[in-house]
Amino acid sequence: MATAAKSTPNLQQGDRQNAESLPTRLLKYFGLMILNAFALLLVYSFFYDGNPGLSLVVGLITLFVNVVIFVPSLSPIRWMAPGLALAILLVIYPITFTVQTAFTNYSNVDHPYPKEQAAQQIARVGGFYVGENNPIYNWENENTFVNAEGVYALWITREVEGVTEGLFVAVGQAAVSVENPTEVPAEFQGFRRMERREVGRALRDLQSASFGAGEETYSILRGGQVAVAVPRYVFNAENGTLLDQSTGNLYVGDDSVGFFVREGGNAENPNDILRPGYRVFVGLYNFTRLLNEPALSGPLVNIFIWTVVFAFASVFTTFALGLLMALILNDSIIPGRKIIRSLLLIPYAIPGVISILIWRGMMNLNLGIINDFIGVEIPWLNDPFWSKVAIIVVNLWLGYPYMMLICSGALQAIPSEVYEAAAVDGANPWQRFWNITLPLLLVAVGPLLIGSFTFNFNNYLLITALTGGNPPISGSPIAGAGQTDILISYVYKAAFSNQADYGYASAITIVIFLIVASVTLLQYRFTRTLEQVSENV
Amino acid sequence: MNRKILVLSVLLALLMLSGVSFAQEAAPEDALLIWADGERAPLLTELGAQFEEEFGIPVVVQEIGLGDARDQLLIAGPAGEGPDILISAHDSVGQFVANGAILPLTLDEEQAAEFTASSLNLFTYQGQLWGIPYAQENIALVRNVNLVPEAPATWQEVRALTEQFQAEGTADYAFVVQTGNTYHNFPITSAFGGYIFGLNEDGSFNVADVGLNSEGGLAAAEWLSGMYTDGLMPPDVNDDVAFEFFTNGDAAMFVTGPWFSSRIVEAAEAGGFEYSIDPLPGAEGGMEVGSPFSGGQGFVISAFSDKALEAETFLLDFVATTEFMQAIFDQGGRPSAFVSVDTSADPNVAAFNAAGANAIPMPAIPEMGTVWGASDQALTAISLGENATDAMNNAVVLIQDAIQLAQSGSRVVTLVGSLQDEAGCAGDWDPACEATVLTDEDGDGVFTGTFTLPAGDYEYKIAINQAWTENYGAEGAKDGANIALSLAAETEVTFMFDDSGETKVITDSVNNPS
Repeated sequence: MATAAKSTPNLQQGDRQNAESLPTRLLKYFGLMILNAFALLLVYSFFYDGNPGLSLVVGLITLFVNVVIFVPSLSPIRWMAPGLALAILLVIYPITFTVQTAFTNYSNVDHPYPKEQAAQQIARVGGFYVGENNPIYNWENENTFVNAEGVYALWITREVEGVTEGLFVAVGQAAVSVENPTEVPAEFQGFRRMERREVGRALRDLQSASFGAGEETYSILRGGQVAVAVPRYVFNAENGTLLDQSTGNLYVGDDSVGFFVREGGNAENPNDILRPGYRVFVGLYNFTRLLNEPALSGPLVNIFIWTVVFAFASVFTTFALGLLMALILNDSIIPGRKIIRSLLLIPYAIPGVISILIWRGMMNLNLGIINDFIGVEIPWLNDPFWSKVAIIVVNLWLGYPYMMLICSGALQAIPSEVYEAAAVDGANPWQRFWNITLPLLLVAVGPLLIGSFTFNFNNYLLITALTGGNPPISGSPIAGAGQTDILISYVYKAAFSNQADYGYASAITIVIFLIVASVTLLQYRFTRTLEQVSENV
Repeated sequence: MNRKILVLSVLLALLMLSGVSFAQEAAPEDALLIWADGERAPLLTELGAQFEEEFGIPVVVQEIGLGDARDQLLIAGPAGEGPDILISAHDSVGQFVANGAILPLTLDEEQAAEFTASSLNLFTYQGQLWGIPYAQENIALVRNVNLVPEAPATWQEVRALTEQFQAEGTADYAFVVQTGNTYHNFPITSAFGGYIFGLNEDGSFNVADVGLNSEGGLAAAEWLSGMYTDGLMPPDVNDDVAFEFFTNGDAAMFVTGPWFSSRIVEAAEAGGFEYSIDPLPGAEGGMEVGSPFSGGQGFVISAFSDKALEAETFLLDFVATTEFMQAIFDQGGRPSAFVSVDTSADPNVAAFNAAGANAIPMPAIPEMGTVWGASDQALTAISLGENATDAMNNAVVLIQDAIQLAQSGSRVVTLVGSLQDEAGCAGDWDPACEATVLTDEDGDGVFTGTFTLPAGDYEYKIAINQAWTENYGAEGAKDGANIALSLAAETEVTFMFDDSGETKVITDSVNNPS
């Protein structure tokens, strides 16, 4: 029976595909073509932007989508293909990337780039090294020449004991000294002086050009200076070393610390390393740092407790108020229910950050309208206790319409016979609510309450926009850690308060994920118990 | 049939791909890309057109917040999508340099003379110029002349004035300051003799010397604490709240910078009072005047750019001209860093500049990130009634911790061995014991410590960072053998560990008498 039921739709599927008309099929292939074109473009640009991992993932996803569409036996899952593809790209890949980053020292403090990029930045910032005996000449943009073949030349000058000396250097030709260095002619040895706009467009070529011939080749340095010069740092990609041509020191890439360290020097000595450093795998360093550092032994326990309290209190308060509103509006004796319900939904419709900022203004100790109105000076955003109250109050305002919405829906779904039976048995309204409405409602909205819990567990926006985590916890080892910080905002401060420290932040994120996952798991247990309740009703 | 369509689709896909990538290549490749904040971006687009006309180089301006630019550059730069030039606050320069993200600049004497010396100073880091400043700023004391006819000379006077106001009911407060904001509170700290970082002999910042809990720093914190706990200054004040207090006459004075200049003029007109912008008060037992921080904004060249010479031309031949600087000044808000700019349009520029006469350049070193966080936190805590000394000490510990973490050079060197309990430790061979830590006062990598030991035979080694992971023994060898030490009588022994080279050297004054 089961096998027959399975094979029949497959046959139908195949039939249907064969029956597709040509225009439909062409349209389908055309759509796929556009998709493929964009995917290939992404693969290409990710690869060349130094992101081979992401490029590979996009490529594999595209391949997967194509296979699903072209292999007939896979066609039943084609409806899921876009979802799966997006899940891989937007969920699985970032998770892998985060986990991978957690084991590196990637940070904007000292290790922002891959090795080659770090070497390149050191070389670029290092610029040119002019040997001690090589004179430095001045060059004005407008003293640039070009000949008919498009060869560039520079007219450069320098002062020697009050006398101006001049040189004319063309690319590939030996430098010629000029007689009247201060009077730049319009034409010189078959070269003509360029217009300013022309020079502007040629600057990029001039920047990389070597003027002169043989040993004596001049390069353009910074600030309109020209001299016989060599690049200060030379990177040898084969053995990963940087040679400092000004001192002769060789800097060897030390892959255990992620710095180029002077040969014979010490990686711990700031004078022996070149900055920036580069990214390397550091094993469990970020996790041990988390354990050893005051970040964890510090206020983390307090913050964790407050996070849980906040998440529970938010769900409870919003659900209680939302349910109350839903029950009231569910009663047909209330006039103008639709209008009231629409009005009550307004807080939900306004972007959260706007409401939060308005609340923050209203709760200001000195000028806030709430304190003006009630005539008591409550330090809403400054006191450890009141700031927590403020957060729960604002979240109640933001969250109850959602709860009202889902409760209204779920209330409709409770069959009226159950109430009739209860009425026959002589149950009063209070008993009906506790024994019928609430259990049946919880079955329907339970998963949504868990969703709401996890959402509030990570409600970064509310905390950051309303209190910024303030008031501060005194003696906290993390700058700015506050009484109202929840885990996620605390992590942000721990990892980013100074400079983006991606490796460390990823490690903390993983730890938080484990916490949230276990809390959620516990809650699923709890809902399963609720489902059993409903089966028994 | 199917196969034909497949081939066709692949071909078409390739065709489209080439088309799209060609379109992508063609557009802004030649142009000089500038990242500017929302205020400056439209102006730069306008001036950019002028630059293209003169120099033949097109300019494209992208709007990006000053705060975001720093992290964004490190992401976009390596991908080849970063700007060639960007606007930066001077205090980001240190981090940019550490990241190898910007290029140094050279000005000749003539060009340098066109800028105020202090503004160039702001963009100089490790003896090298890294940016072309266009604005510099500092805060000053803004005073309602009708309420306070004469500027107070000290913060103690400010306090007395507040008490008088509250007794007479003239106004709620004589003075308000932004709560938990190190930048705005710094003139108070400096007036009492406090500072952020001490200076080395060569004028660079000594990050080991944090002055927030120096004698002066604590005096300033005490003053603030007294103002808050006695109800003489309100907590929970930000820029807008402070301005609001000032505008409606509830506070007679507040501190702010030139970015409030036009709003102050309007408020004074609307409120019918006269205002004055004065240098910041000093303190009894401290300085004669308080020093604000000076800060600046300028243009820097991205080290990821392949158009360094064009970018340099833009900065030296176009930005560093009176026309450009005048245009950017006329947009308002910030005093110019360029000497020849005509500032008469803003009546407050001179007053703000006067208040900045003894301004201290806001440190541009990377360590400042932690300073802001920790110090802001301490100031907020003080406004909420926390003990001033505790708050400041906490902040300093925080800052020192972060700096130690950031500086890979700092190592803890501990003498470990059977002599440890004689030298004041709880047990022997304990790398975590604080009593036998050797110190390196001058930072040359040579750690020393002197201990008085009773007669006896001992063995010892050197452990690094309070763990056995890295330790040194006989002849400075890593994980080397224990070093024996025999004392016939009670002796004062000096131990030395030379950490500066690849080969470590361990000596003591008994085995290796000099």
